[in-house]
Amino acid sequence: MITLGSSERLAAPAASVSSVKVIGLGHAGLAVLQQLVREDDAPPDLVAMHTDAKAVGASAASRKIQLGLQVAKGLGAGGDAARGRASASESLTEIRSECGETELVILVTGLGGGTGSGAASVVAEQAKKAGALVVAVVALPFAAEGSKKRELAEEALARLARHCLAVLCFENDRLVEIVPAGTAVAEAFGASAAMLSLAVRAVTQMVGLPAVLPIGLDELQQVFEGADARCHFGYGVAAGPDRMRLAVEEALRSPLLEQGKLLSEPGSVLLHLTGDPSLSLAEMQSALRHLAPYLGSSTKVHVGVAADAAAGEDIGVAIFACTRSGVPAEFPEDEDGFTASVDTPADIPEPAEVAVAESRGEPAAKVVGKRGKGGKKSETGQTQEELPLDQAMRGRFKDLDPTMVDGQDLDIPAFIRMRIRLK
Amino acid sequence: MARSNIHVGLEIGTSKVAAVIGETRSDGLMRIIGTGEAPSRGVRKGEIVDIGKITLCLTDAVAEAEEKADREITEVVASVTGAHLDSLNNRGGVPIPEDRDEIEEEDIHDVEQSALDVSIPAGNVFLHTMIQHYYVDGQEGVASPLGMLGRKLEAEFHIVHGTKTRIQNSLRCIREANLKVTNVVMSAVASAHAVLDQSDRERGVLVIDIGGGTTDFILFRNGSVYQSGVLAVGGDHITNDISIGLRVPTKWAEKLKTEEADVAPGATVARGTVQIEDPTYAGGEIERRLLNLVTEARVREVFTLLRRRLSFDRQAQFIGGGVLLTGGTAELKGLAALAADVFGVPARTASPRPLMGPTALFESPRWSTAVGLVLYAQAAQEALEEISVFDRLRSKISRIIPGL
Repeated sequence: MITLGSSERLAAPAASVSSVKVIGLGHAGLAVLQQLVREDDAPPDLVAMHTDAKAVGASAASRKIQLGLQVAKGLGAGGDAARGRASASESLTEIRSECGETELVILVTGLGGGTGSGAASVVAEQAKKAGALVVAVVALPFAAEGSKKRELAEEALARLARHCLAVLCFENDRLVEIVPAGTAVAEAFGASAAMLSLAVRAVTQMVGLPAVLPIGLDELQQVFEGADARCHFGYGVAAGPDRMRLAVEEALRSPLLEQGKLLSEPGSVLLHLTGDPSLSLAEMQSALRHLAPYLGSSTKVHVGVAADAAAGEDIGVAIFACTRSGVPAEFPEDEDGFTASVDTPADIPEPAEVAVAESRGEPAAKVVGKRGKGGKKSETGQTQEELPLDQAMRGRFKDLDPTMVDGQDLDIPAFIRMRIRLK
Repeated sequence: MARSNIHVGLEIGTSKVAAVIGETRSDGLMRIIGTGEAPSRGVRKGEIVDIGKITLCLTDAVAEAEEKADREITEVVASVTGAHLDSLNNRGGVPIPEDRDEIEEEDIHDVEQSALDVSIPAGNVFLHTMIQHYYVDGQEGVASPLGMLGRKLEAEFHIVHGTKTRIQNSLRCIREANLKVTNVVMSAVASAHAVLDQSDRERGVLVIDIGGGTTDFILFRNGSVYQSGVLAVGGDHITNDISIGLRVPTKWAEKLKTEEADVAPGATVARGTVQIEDPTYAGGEIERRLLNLVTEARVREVFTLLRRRLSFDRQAQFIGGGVLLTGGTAELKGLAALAADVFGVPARTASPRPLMGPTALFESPRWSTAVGLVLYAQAAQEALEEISVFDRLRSKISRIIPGL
């Protein structure tokens, strides 16, 4: 199903959002701000927050807050999330006053370290309390940084998500796919920062530029609402006669969208185009046409178009995909575990029912059918199949919220997840 | 304040509702005079999903306890559990007013309030604030600062919080049954009250209460609570795993779990089979080895998750009392051996410690939370009586210093 904004909205170019603030938190957050500052059309309100006094001082952001003067003593949180958290708690008043009279706060940070993991949820909470909508853009640590960091990041992410309209989640490991194998460490982290800053710019452009077909905060809220708070993002830019197809394809190639596979999952997709005022209706339609093969039948698409006089020949395409499966994106990767145990759950005495959320807005509505019969046939059949299988393996817990720990659904039998063979 | 000498603990668990009536005798000792239980309906993973159903269950359990005790009850102390419960440690501090040097009750109250000035998720409320240590002018290890001289009082607390609406839901059904809730206690805190004595707490101990839908844990170091929480995985998950893995109906999976499964390390190479005899089910033989394999995988995972979540390896040296296992699922065969294997410290299954009364009524790990609630209520009342002394003192002071 494809829905466009109402024709009334098409006619009246809406006023752009009055206030958007970008908060960079911790080491990774500040790195993204540095990247943003370099751009010509950087978002105006950049706020640097860090426990490390030196790093705050060196930041080019217009506003700076050193967190936890007493707790961290200007030395950083030393990888200790508790200290990051305490530091933010100490600086509550500053954080709150910074977020006042702002409609949208974009919080950028890296999870896994001390300041980001500890302070992010506190900052988001304060921003929300101050009346702002919060979109977080976070990087998750490289697997090579160790499982401790990973755990810390997962926990921080769960806390953070409670206060956010949406969390755009970037797996640093996936980013590796877009940089060549021999890349230097500094460059790898730089690529991560670049990707995050692209996402930040996409969001600010979406709500900030004079819109032809506006995505208002209300619509943004609608897109992200009810999603499992993790959102996937792809961005492409191209010029020339075939620019629209090239840009959409580039965006779809983004490793974070798993080559477009994720778009087929139930949920909503937000397509946002940024181009010069001459961008034609035909071009917009062509963007949708290129996107259509990747979408599932129940996916709802929102479209926004912004005019940017400075864009020149370039057309920018941003795709945000919010799945509503309740199964985090990295889970289906675990393919071996699933295929190895396919026959086991299929033979449970009480026939397993599969459930697929049919349409957005009715997360409770379910299509019930036996596995194998109702599977949707499409080129993205793989992800369509895996979701119901999850449900079947949850047995008596199939109708309950999953118990997610470290990205695993603990309601699925332990022996299946551990790949223990029963014979 | 009228001193009530009857306390009633009410645990609404995922698999059962348990009510325990205790009477404090004139010498201050507790005697259990009645217990009642009924299978739960309408509870999943420790949280209530059907208020109508569970209200009937708890009415049954309370009626049974009332009958055994020959008392009618109107008030209960209730336990709460569920994955929404979370905890943190926080330090509070207050300066001692200029006009005096001695630390008073009031300062001890204020330092607790200052520790609660901490960010918790919106919609969450504080459930417990438990003292760990006091510091007077930065000096560590002060057990009781009252009456000490100093300029600054600081204290570290273990704070438990949870989602307000979820806690309210679990209390609503009690009100539906026309009972008044006088106190709400985290299940793990209650269970610890039942199975631990002061010396266990001093030596350091980890209490793991495995129920039907949740695993509640609480860790004591140097006499005070250091960590606590809830993992929404319990005995029902074991049953579900057995049902799926061995392809038997839930009813049989439950029976296999309680009567036959053995999770002790080494039991996964057990020989022999278990015969399922059920005319309605053409089942047959279950290999013991497979049953143990499926069960052990789940329980080992739960223990391993806890070990990681608690960073247990770093604090094992402070846990001289080892691991105590309680709750309905603690009766699983071989559980203590597996816990000892995973945590690397001694482990044992624990029932409520000896109390007076017909012990057959409550001498089982399944009664720990409900019995603990009664003991908690008794201890809270004693503390309350101390506070009321403080309140009188406070009102006296406020007459001298207006605005306090």
